[in-house]
Order: sequence, then C-alpha cells, then structure tokens
Amino acid sequence: MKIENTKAQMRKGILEFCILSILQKGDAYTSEILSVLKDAKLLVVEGTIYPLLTRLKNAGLLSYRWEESTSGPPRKYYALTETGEIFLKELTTTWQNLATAVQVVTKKSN
Amino acid sequence: MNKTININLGGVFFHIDEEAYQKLKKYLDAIRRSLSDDPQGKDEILTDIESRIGEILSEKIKDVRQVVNQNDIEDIIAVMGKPEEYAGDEGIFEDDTTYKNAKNKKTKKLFRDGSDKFLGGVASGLAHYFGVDVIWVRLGWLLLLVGGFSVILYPILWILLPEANTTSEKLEMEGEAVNISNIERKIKEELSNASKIVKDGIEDVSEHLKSGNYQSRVRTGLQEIIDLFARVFSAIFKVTGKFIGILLIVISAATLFGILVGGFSLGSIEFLDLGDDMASYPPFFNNSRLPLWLLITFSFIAIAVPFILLFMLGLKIISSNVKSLSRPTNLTLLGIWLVSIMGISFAGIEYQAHDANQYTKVEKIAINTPITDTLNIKMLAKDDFELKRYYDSQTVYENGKEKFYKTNIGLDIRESNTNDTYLKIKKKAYAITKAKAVEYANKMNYHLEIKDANLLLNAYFISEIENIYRHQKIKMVLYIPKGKTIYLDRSTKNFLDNVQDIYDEEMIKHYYKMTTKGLNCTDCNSKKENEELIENDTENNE
Repeated sequence: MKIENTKAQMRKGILEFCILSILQKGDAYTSEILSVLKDAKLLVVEGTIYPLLTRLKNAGLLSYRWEESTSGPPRKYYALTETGEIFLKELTTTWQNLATAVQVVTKKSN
Repeated sequence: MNKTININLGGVFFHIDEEAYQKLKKYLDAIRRSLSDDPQGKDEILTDIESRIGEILSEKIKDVRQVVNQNDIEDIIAVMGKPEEYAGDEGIFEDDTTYKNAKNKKTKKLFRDGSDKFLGGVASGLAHYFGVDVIWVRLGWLLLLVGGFSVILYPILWILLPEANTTSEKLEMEGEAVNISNIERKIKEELSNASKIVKDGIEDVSEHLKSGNYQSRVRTGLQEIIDLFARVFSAIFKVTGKFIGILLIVISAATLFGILVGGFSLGSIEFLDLGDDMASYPPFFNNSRLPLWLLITFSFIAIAVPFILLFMLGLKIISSNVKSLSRPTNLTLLGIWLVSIMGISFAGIEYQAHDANQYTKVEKIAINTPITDTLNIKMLAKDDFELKRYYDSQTVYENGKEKFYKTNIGLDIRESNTNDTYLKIKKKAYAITKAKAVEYANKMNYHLEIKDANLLLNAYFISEIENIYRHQKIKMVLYIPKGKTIYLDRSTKNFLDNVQDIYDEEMIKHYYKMTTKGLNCTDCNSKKENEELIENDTENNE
C-alpha cells in the first residue's frame, strides 16, 4: 500500500468533479480551468489535466469550440453537455453524502 | 554559439536554440509514449499540450526576437510535470502487482534487473520480460547447466543485455508481459488505428475532390494511403516479428546446445581414447594433414558462428535495446569462421586428392587339385577381432601396432580357359601419387591357404593405419575348368560378387559344377533335372 496511490485515488474522482463544476459556472478554456485548480492546490502538475479533459470529452460529458483570442492563437473552450450536467448533478449528491459521511466518521473516531 | 530553430507551438512562432529544441522534442516524444494506451485521443492531447506550452512560453518571452533556451524548457517541464505523470492516475486503483502491468502498456524491453540478481540479473530480466516468476527462469538455467549450455548462453546475455538503471528503463523492463492475449490486443489497436487513418484519408480525398482542386490534394490522399499500408505492414511485422524472433532464438539456442553437447561428448571420447567405435567422423577427418582436434574445432566454429548470429538477430527482434556486437568482435567472428571453413575445405580437397591415382596389383595363384575333387571354398574371419555388423572396416591391434582391418573383399567364379584351376587376386589401392598407390597396394596384406580340397580364403585384409578409408579393396576371381565341382561354404555369403544370375546370398551351401553355360547348381531342390546329379555329387563328396 503506497501513500501516493491512496492520495491519488482520493484526488482522482474529485478532480473530475471539480472540472465539471468549474465548467458549470460558464465555458472556460484550458488555462482558465488550470489556474482555478492550481489556486485551489488540487493540481500539482499541469500535465495530468490533458488526458483527463480528452477522456471527459470522449465520454460525451464535455464539448468544445474554438474561439479567437486577442492575444494569440485561437483557444479551445470547453462547455458542459447535457449528459455532463446530469453526470455532475449525480456527482454533487454523491459528494455531499460523502462529505457528511466522512465528517461523521472522522468525528466519531476522534 | 548555438544554432536556432524556428518552431510552431500551438499556432505561435518561436525561435528556439538547438539544445532546447532537442530537449523539448524528447519531452514531447516521452509524453507521446506514455500516452500510448489510447491511440485516438493521443494526437488531440498532444496538440492541447503543445498549445499550452506555447502559451506558457509566450508569457515568458515577450520579445519575439528572444530565443527560447534550455532553462525555459526546464521550467516548462517543472510546470507541466514529468512524462510519467501524464499517464495520469491510470493504475491507482489496482493492486501493486498488477499495477505495474496496467501502468505501462508500452512495448516491453529486455533488460538485466540489477535489483534482483544472483549473478548478473539476467534471469530476473527474462522473468520480467515473459511475466513469469524468476524462480522458474533460474531453475531453467540450472537445468541447462547440464552440458554447459548455461555456461555459454548466460555470459552472452550478460554482455548483450543492458542493465535497467533509470526509472523509465525499469518501467520498460516491467511493462506488459509478452503473451498471446496482449499481442492480440496490440494487433487490434494497430488495426483500429490504421482503419482510422484510412477513414480520415478517404474523407480527406473526397473533401478535396468536392472542393475541386484535386491535383495536389489527391497526392496527399495517396500519400496517406501509402503511409497507411506502411503502418499496417509494420504493425503486422511487429507482431509476427516477435514470434519469428522467439523461433530464431529457440532454434539457434537448441542448435548451439546440440553441438555443444556433441562437442563435449566427442572431446570426452577422444580424451578417454575410446576410439572409432564410439565416434565416427566424416572420412576425410581421419587422414588429413590437419590434426583431428583442429578439424573438430573448425567444424564446431563453422556451425556455431552462424547460429550465434541468428541467436542475436532473434534477440534484437524481440527487444530493440539488446546491444550489438562491436565491429572488431564481428570481424573476429567472421575471420575465425572463414578460417574454419577454409580448414575444412582443405581437408576435403586433400581427401579427394588421395583418390587421384589408382593402382591394381594382380597376383595369380595356381590351385593344383585333381579335377574330380570338389573344391570347398571357405572365407575365414580372424577370430581375435570380430568385425561388427554393418562395418566394413575397423582398427585393430596386431603385435601392439594399430592396423586397419577391412572386409572389402569380393569373390567371383568364372570358367577357366585351360584345364587348370587358379585364383587371381586384384589388390586395388588409391593414393595422391601413382608411386604411393603402388606402395599401398603392395602393403595390402592378404593371406590364403589351400589345404587338401579346401580353398581357405581370408575374409579380411590388413593394411597400414595411414591407408584408412582409401577405398582399398580386393577382388578375386576363381577360374575353374569345365566339369569341376565346387562347394560354397556358408562363410562365403557376404563375399560373393555377382557370380551367377542368382542372388549371391542364395548360392551358399550348394554344389556347383562348371558347364559351358556357367555354374550349374547340382543340389538345388528347385531344379528337378538336377536331382540325379545330387546323388552322384554326394558320392563324390564322400
């Protein structure tokens, strides 16, 4: 049992949940998503996010469009699809249940 | 002073110095490799990553004229993470053991595992490669130790296989096991990859056709289809190649093992001096100017070297990181191989030359027995050395000297033109010069005896050991006058040489009378007209 694995396991589901949550507030391009995640210290290195975004997109939870930018090449803007919305809703409920459950359990053991 | 290169990262233009470019390229390649498990998304992910790198760089480099250097790339790698980290958290839910397999689905390579070694870590490296427990590989080595196989093979692998030092090498070493289901999956992946390219290519072509400008576009479409074929073939080769590689290794290893065991046995036999009975060599080995041990060594090398190369080819096919032999080593191998081939050829030519001249020495011996007496013909073998079946020659010791004992003797019976009975002995010998042939023929020692009505012929002749395998033979013709009767003893069975139009072997143990039509069997049951004669003959015999 490696502590890194456990940590990564914990982070994994949450990361997908957080990406979907960020996009719920509005469409965003990769760098925006990255900066939110990095500020929240959810992400250590940026590289991890790219396979994740592609996977979510291929699963039909996200869609993207190209948008011209004033300061450089066009940017890839991600948006939540309908399936993504439903997916996110379920994740939110699960997360809330989990959060309370974890709170209850950790309080008891203290 | 450094050369700079212009690159396009996600639509932004950069000057980058050569070293930094190499570093960036290496980094991107490494990412591509670590993403190899999903071919569809890979290109997209890489494009995204490139755009992001372009974005970060353009934040750093405000002035267009500024050149991107190595430090910039290092900073980017620090922000983006190591290639391994891109693979994501793929394997985190797996147990530790299967984790290794799931984590790294790239092609496995053969390494030595320095962290688990008894001698050089060859066994553990092989175990990783084939996904078996190292104990089986070690047991295998122990088994192969019989006959010295391991002693040869192990050092070869030790030299050829690099040790896995870096993390990525270790991952490659422990990657996916090479087995049927994985190979099948690989084929499917490659094929789906290929079909995607076909689809894209066709769409591309049709799009270009619609847009009208097809001259240049068709070419790109064609090019893509050609690329596709190249990819499909290389995919097929990659997979079947492994099998061919394994086959090559097995075959060449088995051959090397075989000749090693053979060579070892031969060496022991020669060392213990068990002699010809145990080992039989090609004829030209025995009377060459070159010593026997050298010829054996030459043969060994002549066979071993090509198989060693095949073995290495197999290893190379299986795992690209197997070290090549250095040029001097290759040249040395080639050199000793050529010398061996030449040595053997020399012995062969030398051997052939010994047949160049032939000499036949003829002796005539009169047999003075009354014509009415039946001549009893017997072939006498020498009691002290019984010749083995199917051998027509062997070495024997006579008065402490090694000699050559040969049974290449033929006997024919013909009608005599006179009233005399006589025997002609033709001793035939071959040699490199006429004089030598004469000498050898004279040295052929043949003995016969005429005792009462018995013709006692030796069933063998003895010759000098140097004459071995030079096809010496003795041919005898017995001339008997008309009316004389002979009896062929059982012992003549294997020596009769086309005497009559009957099977030579069926002629024994019968009486024959010389007539104008040749020999006539007088006691054969099949011939009724001879029945009367039998009685007469038996009287005669008494």
